[in-house]
Amino acid sequence: MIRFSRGSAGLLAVALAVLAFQASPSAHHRWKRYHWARTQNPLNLTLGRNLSTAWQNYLQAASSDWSSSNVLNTTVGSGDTTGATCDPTLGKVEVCNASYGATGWLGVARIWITTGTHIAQGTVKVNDYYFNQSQYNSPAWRQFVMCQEVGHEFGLDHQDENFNNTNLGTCMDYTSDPDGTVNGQLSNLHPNAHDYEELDIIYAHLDSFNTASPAKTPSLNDPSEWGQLMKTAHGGKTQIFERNFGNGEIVVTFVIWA
Amino acid sequence: MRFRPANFIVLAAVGVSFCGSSALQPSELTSEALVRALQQQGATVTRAGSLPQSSYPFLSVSAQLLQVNGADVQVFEYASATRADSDASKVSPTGSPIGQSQVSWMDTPHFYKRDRLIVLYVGHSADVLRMLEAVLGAAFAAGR
Repeated sequence: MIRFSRGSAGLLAVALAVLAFQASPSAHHRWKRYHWARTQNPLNLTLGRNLSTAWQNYLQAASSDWSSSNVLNTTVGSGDTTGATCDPTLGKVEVCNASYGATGWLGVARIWITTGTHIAQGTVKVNDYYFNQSQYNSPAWRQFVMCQEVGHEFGLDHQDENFNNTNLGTCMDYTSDPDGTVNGQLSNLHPNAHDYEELDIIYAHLDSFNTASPAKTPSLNDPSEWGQLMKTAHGGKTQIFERNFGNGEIVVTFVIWA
Repeated sequence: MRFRPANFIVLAAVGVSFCGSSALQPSELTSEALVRALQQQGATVTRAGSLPQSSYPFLSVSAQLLQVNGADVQVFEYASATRADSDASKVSPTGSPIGQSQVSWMDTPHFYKRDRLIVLYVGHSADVLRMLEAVLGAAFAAGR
């Protein structure tokens, strides 16, 4: 039997505390106290797609990754803005790509706050000026940046901001080697357990109101929601429209005009 | 009034000190003065147009783009030093977040502020950093 004096027990407690801290060095990486207000979990949030084809799969993957959280349910839906302007829409996150120039940034996640700490709307921009260059035009860089920017929209900060240290295995960690293949290290293309833990903390409480709007369902009564005209027949009396929601989801609307 | 040699020496010393620093640090730094000062440091500087304000949604003015020894350097010129100070105060010590925007920089960001200019260099060229620091002083925010 090992016996401890009061002094050595105190030292052991300190040592265990230090070990625990080292084992989870980034357990707290929330972005101030920002969060979406909601009356129940999970948070249902639409990520508006204002993206060229080259980006759509990365947004879908990021949405799936973050929805693995117990407290999040994100849906990729139609966008309400353009890549160039990327205007915000109340209650959702607009995700945009365009060539924004030699800005020095690959991506920017922006949020608007209401009633102190509640996120009312957000935008994500990814900069094709760099992603069209060979250094960044790879699935790894696109997935890493998309995952990180979308992660900020939930109120997460970075776990680490040093480009040159070892990957932590999360997209919320700055890196020069996103998939870890250059230096034989962890991949930073997806969230890790610490991110999900932090989200559990951020969204542990409930609010008395909602700032996120539910996903919009396309209205079949509104022709602007039908998408592209694919075929016209019978002298214009019948028409077929297709709207591509990405990820294999296509809504076909067959119209017989009166 | 009696002449006091000691006072004269002090005033002369202050005058030399002011003139010595004014070659690199004009009283009101503009983007034009910045270009000249960097050239005096031995840099090759070219103007490369401007970027719309929407390219930097977290700052309140548009950026002028310089190439300093081939590296992109963004210059934000404000109407007053007070307005520049206001935007500078939003920049976190590590360069992100800036206000309510989180920024994924392509390399290490370095933010400098002097008079009514904020200058941003995203990169790690020792030459560029040395010249910017000589003209603008130490970065007020920089990544790791």
